[in-house]
Amino acid sequence: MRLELGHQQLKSQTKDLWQIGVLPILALGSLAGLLGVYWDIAWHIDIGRDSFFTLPHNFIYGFMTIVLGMSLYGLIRDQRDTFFHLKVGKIKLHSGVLLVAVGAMLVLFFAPADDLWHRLFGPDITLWGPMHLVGLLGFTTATFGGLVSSWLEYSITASRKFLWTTLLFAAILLGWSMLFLAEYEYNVPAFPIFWHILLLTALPTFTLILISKLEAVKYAATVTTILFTLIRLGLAGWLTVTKGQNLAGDSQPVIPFLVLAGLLTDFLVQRNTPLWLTGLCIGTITFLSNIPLALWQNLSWHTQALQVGIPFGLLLSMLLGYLGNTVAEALPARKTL
Amino acid sequence: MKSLLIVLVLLGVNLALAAPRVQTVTMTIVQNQKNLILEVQTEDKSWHELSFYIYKPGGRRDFVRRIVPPSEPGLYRLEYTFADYGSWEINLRYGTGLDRYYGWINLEIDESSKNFIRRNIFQGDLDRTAPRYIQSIGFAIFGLLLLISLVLIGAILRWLSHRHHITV
Repeated sequence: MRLELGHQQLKSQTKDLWQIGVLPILALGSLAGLLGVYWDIAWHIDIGRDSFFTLPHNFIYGFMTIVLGMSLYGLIRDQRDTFFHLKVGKIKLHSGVLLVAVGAMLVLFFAPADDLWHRLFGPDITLWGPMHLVGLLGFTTATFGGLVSSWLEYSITASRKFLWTTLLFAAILLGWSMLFLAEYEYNVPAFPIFWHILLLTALPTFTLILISKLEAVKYAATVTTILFTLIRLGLAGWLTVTKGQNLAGDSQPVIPFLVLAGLLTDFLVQRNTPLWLTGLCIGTITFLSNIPLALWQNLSWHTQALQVGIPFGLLLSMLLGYLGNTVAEALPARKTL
Repeated sequence: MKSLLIVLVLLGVNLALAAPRVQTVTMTIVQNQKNLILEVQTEDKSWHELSFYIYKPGGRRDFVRRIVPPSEPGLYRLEYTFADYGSWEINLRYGTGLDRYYGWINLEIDESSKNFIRRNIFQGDLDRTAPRYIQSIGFAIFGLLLLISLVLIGAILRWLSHRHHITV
């Protein structure tokens, strides 16, 4: 009742994050950043590093600026008085957008630090260059902030569009967590293969358990993995188009198959399966369902890598399951709204 | 004078710890028509994987990639069958990230059989003056930023959890 009254007052007070344009532009920015990084890797593999101002670089930095600008605009423009606005003096900061700003600050640090790093220590053409990781962390955090913002908006407006933007941000977050494995997907790894097996097994678990626990829709994790697959197919289309324009080469990343993991997550979460077991099962199904891809694309999953990657991947999957659940519990549950 | 001495000592330590620019690699090549057995022995005996990128000269957009672990410290073995006769290039690399070495071999694949040993010099990716530990420092910076971000995110989520529990 109190929330309903608050909701009506808010509607008359001011506009939500969708109406002021923050959420759609943040979603577009993080989606475009994802596409830009994959394009950039394809460019580096097939064309090389001809200058700093390559098309993919300009594309990524352009959208980084947009994400940064939008998060600052959202923090300043949105001055509603809700339970999730942090009051600092007279200023009210949207806690979800604050998370986006944390990510944007990391990205702001990354751009000059990365350039300086290359000038001082060498070309470092790997996705896991330390400064590149800072940039990826920034974008991932910003996307996570987008998911939280979207869910918080739903918690006070009860508008279904925020359920769908939450799912979209979850799919993009899954995309960013898989992006850490992009060099393996392109089959040009600069780090040992066991990391691919370990992280592929574990990383999806966080987002899948989080979104399934939030219950944005009945089969939230499954829908998220389907959206993720559609995003990646769109990205493959983009790379094909840029190849046609001679703006990328033949290299295409393998698309991880996560739909079975999504289905299993929903099944286990809806039956209140213990978290350790849920994490273990999601990790196992993610690994197993990607074996055909690894074989088809000749991803060199050799025995030594499997011996390290599988057990540690399953262990990390269980831990990330707990983490996803903790985050879901920190946010308002749908059934209480 | 004292500061100058400290700077010189630091510079000396840095140069002493600088990564070697090149590594010597011995390759044993056994070629029988289109079949190749390539054994690579590296100076560096620590655990690495060796990546092989196989392509036609000028056709670097069409790689075949193979990654092999060591069969014993510093020894890597690739067995491969070429698609057709003619000139082929193999790009080889090992190491992690910035701390990586790479080199090439050119092979003329024809109907004959050959067996020979070749010594190659692999180039390092790291800048001449950069110490080998620089990548570890970079990862430490990333780790620190990751930790700070997680603490910040954790603090915001804890506050949020507290707020919505007292509101509902």
